Amino acid sequence: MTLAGALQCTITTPEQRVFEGDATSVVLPAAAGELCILPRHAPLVGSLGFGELRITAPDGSTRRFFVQGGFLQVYQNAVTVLATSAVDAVDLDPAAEEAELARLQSMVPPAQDDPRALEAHGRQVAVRRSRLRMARKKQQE
Amino acid sequence: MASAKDIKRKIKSISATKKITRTMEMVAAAKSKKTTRRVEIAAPYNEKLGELLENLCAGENVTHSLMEPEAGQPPRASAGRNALVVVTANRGLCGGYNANVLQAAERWIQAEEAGGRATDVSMIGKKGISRFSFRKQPFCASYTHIGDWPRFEDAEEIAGGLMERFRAGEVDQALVVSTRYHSAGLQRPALTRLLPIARPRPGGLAARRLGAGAGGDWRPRAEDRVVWRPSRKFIFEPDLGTILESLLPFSIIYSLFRLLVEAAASEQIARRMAMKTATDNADDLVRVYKRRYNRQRQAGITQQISEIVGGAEALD
Repeated sequence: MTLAGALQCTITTPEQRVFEGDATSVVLPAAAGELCILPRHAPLVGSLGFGELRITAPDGSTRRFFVQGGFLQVYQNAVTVLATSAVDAVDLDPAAEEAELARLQSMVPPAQDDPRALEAHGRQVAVRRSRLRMARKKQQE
Repeated sequence: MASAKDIKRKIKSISATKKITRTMEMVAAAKSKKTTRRVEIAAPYNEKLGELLENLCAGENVTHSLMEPEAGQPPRASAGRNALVVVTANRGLCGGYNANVLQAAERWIQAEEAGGRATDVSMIGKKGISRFSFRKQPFCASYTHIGDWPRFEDAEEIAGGLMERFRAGEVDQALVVSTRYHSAGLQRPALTRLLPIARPRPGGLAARRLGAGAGGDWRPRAEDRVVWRPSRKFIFEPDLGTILESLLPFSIIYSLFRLLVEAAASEQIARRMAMKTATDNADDLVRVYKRRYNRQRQAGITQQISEIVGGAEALD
């Protein structure tokens, strides 16, 4: 049973179920920017960008995840996030993220005449930057 | 009749084989536990994705190049060929696992050939590759790197190629023959259609599985039944077209991924069963040969005693 006035939130990836539980608010990175879902939100289907997903539980605690790619559905007070990948912020390691970002940036960027490859590379770098930001934020806490 | 020494040698060899099959059984049991868990974990994702697709298609007038054309719309120009992905294992010693899949695939190819349609086969797994090479049946692509633990990228690579060819109009349909995992006790080879995506029909069946036309007895299951629900007013973020453009290809890739994961789990279960049977058989054989050996040893002793007794009597 969900609590009165709570959202039921599920985050799954093809590999595993990352989170399932009640929430009073869910902030997630939609394709065009952050989106905050509160209880009794209208039905919504959207595609997911990449970035931080924050879940505020009924007891006031917050959990954060890094999600990337996929879809979200809000229907009957249930938020379903079908992410391509999702990592709990607790599991992010700043050193590893920094190394990965440095590796990506040191790579020879794809040729200018291949806009798709160039865009993919740019996106990869942006995703890594966002992950690093999140990992560092965790460290400061 | 074999001498006692021969029998002893045989017992030794059977025991050695038994050790191997027992180990393989245990390895397969451990692996099947892991791979089965993966299938079960993926189940809720699959369910949610199906629900999402259904919600989208039910509410709006959806047309997309990867979907079946709407009823009343002109059908696609036929290319006279289909793409078929056959999922087999890299290794044998798993009972009828590979043979069953390959038989289903060959039956389908023959039936299609009789109907004048060619089939482009993409073969996954060394066992299928060697059988098709042996029978001189052509296939256009082969993959051997998938193994026990299929990754999402593997499915992406294969499905990406299929979608490209489908969109270009080179093939009419894309299908997969693989072993489906129904439960820990039941896995069956089945034909699943990936492309085009079936359109949910009011009260009808989403014909994801082809019926008797494929020459098999694959009946639609309860989960293939798509319930028609009235339109739900969804907000689309950013908009329906953009979502479909990424959701439909994704769902194809995911379907293939799921089939690969199910096949991997089924393979381990099949191997465990085959190795268990082999170990049990070895047990029986050892018992039979041991009895024969003891009997012969006993007979030898009896004969020697009676010779000694006979000799002693002759002396008296």
